[in-house]
Amino acid sequence: MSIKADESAHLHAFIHDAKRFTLYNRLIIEGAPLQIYFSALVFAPETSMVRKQFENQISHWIRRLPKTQKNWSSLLQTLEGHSGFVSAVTFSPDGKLMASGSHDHTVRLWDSATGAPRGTLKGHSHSVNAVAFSPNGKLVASGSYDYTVRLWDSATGVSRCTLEGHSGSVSVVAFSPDGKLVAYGSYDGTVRLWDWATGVLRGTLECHGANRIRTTLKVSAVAFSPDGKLVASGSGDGAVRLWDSATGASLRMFQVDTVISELSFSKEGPYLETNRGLLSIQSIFTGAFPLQPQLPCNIFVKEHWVAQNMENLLWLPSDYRPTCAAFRSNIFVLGHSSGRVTFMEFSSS
Amino acid sequence: MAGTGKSTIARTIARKYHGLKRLGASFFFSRRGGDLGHAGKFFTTIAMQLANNSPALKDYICKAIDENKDIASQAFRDQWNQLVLRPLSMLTADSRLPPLILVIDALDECEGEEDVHTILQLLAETRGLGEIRLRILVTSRPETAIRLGFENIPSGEHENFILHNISESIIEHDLTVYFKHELTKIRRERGYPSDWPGDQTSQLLIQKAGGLFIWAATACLFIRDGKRVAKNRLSLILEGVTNGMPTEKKLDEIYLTILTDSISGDYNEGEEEKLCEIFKQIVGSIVTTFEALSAGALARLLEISKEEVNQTLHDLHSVLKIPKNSEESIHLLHPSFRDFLLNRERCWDHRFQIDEQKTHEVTFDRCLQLMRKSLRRDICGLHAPGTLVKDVRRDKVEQCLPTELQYACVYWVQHLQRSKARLCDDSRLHVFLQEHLLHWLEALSLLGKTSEGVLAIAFLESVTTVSDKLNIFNKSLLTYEY
Repeated sequence: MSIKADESAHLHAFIHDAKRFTLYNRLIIEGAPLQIYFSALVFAPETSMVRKQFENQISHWIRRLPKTQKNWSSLLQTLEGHSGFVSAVTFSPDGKLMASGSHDHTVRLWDSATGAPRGTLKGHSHSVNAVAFSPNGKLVASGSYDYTVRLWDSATGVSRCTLEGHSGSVSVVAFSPDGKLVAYGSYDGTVRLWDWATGVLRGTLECHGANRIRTTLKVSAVAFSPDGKLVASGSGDGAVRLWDSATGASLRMFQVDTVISELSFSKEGPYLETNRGLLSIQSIFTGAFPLQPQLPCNIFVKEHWVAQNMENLLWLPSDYRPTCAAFRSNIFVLGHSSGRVTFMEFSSS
Repeated sequence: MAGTGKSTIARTIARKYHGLKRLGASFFFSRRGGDLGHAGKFFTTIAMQLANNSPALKDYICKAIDENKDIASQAFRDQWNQLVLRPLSMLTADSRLPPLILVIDALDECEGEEDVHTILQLLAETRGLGEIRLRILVTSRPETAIRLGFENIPSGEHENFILHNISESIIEHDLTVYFKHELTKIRRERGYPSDWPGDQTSQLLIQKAGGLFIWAATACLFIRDGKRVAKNRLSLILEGVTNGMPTEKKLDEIYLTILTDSISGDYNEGEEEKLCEIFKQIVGSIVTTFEALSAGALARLLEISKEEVNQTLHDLHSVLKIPKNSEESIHLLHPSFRDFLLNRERCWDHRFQIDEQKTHEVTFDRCLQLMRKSLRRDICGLHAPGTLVKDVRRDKVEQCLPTELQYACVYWVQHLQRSKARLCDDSRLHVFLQEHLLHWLEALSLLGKTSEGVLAIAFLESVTTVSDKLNIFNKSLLTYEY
């Protein structure tokens, strides 16, 4: 088809913008169609033609709209690299490197300042589900669907060792604070502790009863306490467990209303910092029982959504997913890794 | 060669082994059959059928899916390895099973040479399975890509069987049996005397068929469908000299006979012209849509009354499979009918010639109009902004987005792509996008076809790209500043 410039310039410009709009929001369009009129429009850049065309479609319950970028960012370009779904990303302790694990069976290392690739770690025979840096940043651990955990030298990309022979795919990995132990959780519902230098398996923590259904078994998060004495794990049924890392004994278990995907011990006090807010673990030390985790207020961020009670309200595109969030009455503040802070205000009904 | 009976053989074998409980899976490629026209769902379909047909395999396949939820979006090789090869290899220890049969028909109708290559290559790799024997039947026209694909498989591991090289006497014998069976049926139905149609006539029919089973089948359907005028129809077929004609011509001849008969009657020139116009619109759409539609859906898409559609199709039962229920899809009885209608040299009668590009343009236009009329925000009445597609009931989607609207949403860009339509500012397309872009994306999401939307938009962008980019940039700046 040959079309003269003056005939379709506006149409072309609109279609180009529609393409950016669709690609940028593809995930949410595919998953939750009505978010086209919510998230997709609310977070589209100010100059987007699609946004201008359909601005009157934005719901009135969002009284103040977040300030968005002026133009489409260069997001499209930074997505390239892996040939499969990216399942895990993590920063090195000094923040200079980033590692990503993918369903394309590889782990990739990136320069976090420029986004330039720093190496591809090949060796897994199946999707990589989890990646973690050692506390000194020199090692990368990766866990895969191929039932193995591999350790790599982050500077050279050379494979250091492989732990094989397990009964399930590996879903999460974490290093102990001294870097000597690797804890990894599996789809079979166990967390194992591995002394990688000697190759000795130090313990197996069984997270489940006998009759649990498979999909809820998966260990969704694992972390060591700063002194290395405790291990916390989250699993697919919303259970959070605390273990003694030396004996493998289960100390406490409690249930929350969402799958814990981010989990770390607070350095400030007896808390677990999770994607569901701060969970108090005071009772571990005082012996008080039953343990009541303190849940934050009723608006919170849950798996890329702004949710109220149990209802998802607004989906957050990747640029707007917070590293931290705060709420006071109807005002809602999100902090982002880019340094940007987003303010929104909801009507009180 | 078209019409030698490849698909019939594939169907027969599939049915036979299904009866013996040894059919592992079957896949019948069809160019105009939506997902049957490409390799996208081939491996997952095979895996699902294997799981349903073999309880022993089911556990392994389910386990593979369980461990790898997004397997359907992974590479074909991974799908094949994890959903078929690995489960099959695990069977070895269990038991000695008789070989499972895999039937793959019309590989040449699968879009994309590379995918066809991948399929053949992966099929060939089952030889590594050792004990579990999988027998695979592939039928295809001998397209170059497919011939080359087979040449890469060691000759000991596959067997070629070329239907049009079977000796004439065997084919003639088969045709004799077929005609005898079919004509006897017609004779009984109509109460004709026992010497009808006579040896000489039967012999003539066999000659005319020229070894093509599709010719024989079409002729018998045409005669039988004539009911009270069955005898006349037989004469129509026998008219004209076809001796020495190339085989394809003989097929064209019978198609023309059928079409001419379908509009015969006491019509004046104007009326006949109108009939042919409607024929071209309806039958033209049937042979150019990307997915088979029902008479009802077709009528609503083209905005032609259902009666008109039914009457146009009334005398075409020997070339089209038209279900009694007008909401079931219409299929071509044989792909050669489509090739014939779209080729001016084969269909030399201008009254029936279908201009492919023009038909696509009309359908594109109809799709656009239907979408403008029907699409709206929250078309399924979901209300809750966070509703996930996976929680929307299928029947609700079907009810709120009728077949023809689904079709229009998914395929309008492909019709546009194959037409000569021009895209320009303030065109209907432009207005449609400005009014309904979001509604269209919402509909695609509900249909699980968001990827098609992305590809469609990318295509539109590519055909509206203009050489002088700076020029557009300045222009749009100017426009949007005041």
